[in-house]
Amino acid sequence: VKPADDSFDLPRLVETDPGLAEELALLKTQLPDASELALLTSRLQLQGIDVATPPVAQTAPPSPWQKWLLGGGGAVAIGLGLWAVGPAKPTALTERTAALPSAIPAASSAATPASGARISPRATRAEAAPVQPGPVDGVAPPVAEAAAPSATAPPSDSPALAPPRTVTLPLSAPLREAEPGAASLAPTGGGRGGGVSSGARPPSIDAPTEIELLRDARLALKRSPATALELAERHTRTYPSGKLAQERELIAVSALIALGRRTAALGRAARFEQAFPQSPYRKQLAELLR
Amino acid sequence: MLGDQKTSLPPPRGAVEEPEPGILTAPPAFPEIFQQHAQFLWRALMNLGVQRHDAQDLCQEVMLIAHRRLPTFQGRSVRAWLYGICVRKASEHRRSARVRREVPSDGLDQLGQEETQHDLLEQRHRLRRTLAALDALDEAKRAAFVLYEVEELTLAEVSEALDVPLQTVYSRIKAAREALRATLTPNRDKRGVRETG
Repeated sequence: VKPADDSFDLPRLVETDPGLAEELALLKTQLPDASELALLTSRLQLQGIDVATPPVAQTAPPSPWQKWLLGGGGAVAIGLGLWAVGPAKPTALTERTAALPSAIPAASSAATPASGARISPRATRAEAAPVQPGPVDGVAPPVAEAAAPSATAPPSDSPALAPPRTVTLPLSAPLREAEPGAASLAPTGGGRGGGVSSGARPPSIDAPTEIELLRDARLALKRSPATALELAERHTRTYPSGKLAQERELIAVSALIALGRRTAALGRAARFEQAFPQSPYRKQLAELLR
Repeated sequence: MLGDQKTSLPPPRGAVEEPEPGILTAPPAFPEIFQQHAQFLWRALMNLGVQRHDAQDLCQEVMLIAHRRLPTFQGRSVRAWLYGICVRKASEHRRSARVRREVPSDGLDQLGQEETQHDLLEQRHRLRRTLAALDALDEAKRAAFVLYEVEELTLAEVSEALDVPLQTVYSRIKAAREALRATLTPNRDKRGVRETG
């Protein structure tokens, strides 16, 4: 007998059939781990989207890096998004952040124009004027202006809102002379799966992390597409199995189009679609090439 | 202001009178949405049949869609709206020719490190069995069940997320429970089960 429309009440399974509920309990463990969440954060930030502080993984045991952040390294709060894709340099990051007095909100590292995002001094050497940060071509501009946590109580199983952390922008290593060659895709990386592969580590402690390189490339896109392309190529060389290959290719195709190299852009986009058929950037890429 | 809007709107069909947690009258900013919901949307995608190696891309796509459409959001519940996007993307994904059905081995990293190897194997086996039981459900029943029983949305939110009447949601959840009960606990004494309706 089905109840009337205005009197629907269906007790949860845990109340009516604890045995079956127990069988299904493992479904609740299907959460992303900390590195997967951080990679998701980084990828959204590279699209110019303000995500504020990354959410904290719910049930994953703390990794050595989390322990480091919570322990001695926690003296300087660092956005998870930055260490997830380039976690090999805690000492260098700490030194850099300690040396720079003004911190900016982590969420604005590459996102909102109003938040003071800026290209690293190393990258601006190749450019004549400061970059006006903006969304990647074909990418929707950020709409959220305020990143302040709301006073709204989170759902019962949602993570508590942490106060916004702050982070300073790490500096990229010096640029080499531009050598825009035809880079090959790295389909083994590209945001597939979670965790950080050892192959994604920079070869030296002074090399910029993946997200540093691509954040600079994205910020350079409007002012100097050639610089953006060079940074993308540098990412290809430095991180042949990197986690952010999809983001790199989106930047590279955008830069090629801005430089008027449409044939090269089309070829690169075709390789992208072959390597990442399920990519969330399919539509953006199609709009870029339209 | 918000209270005025609430009282001036006629209650939707089948809606609960008092706002449930997650029922909002104005959408929060995107960072808040990301912090509160991203990992649970990821979990929903996986329980809707997305493999872990595709969950990153799919969850990002859900977030990109949400970010793009948030300025024009006019629903009652942000949570229902987000899960609705999830269900549609998971459905598209499952139907795509390139999706491979693989033995699930996901989610177990979330279990405590103190678990013994035997426990881990047992839990892996149970998760695999449970996901296989979900796979055997039709897509509509699976979505209603996952959103209600795992993600703990309200019936009204599930109705809004799936864009179907409340009575349909009710029926789908009941049917899913029966199917899962038959698969997962076939020999158990059902005297302890207190189903209504």
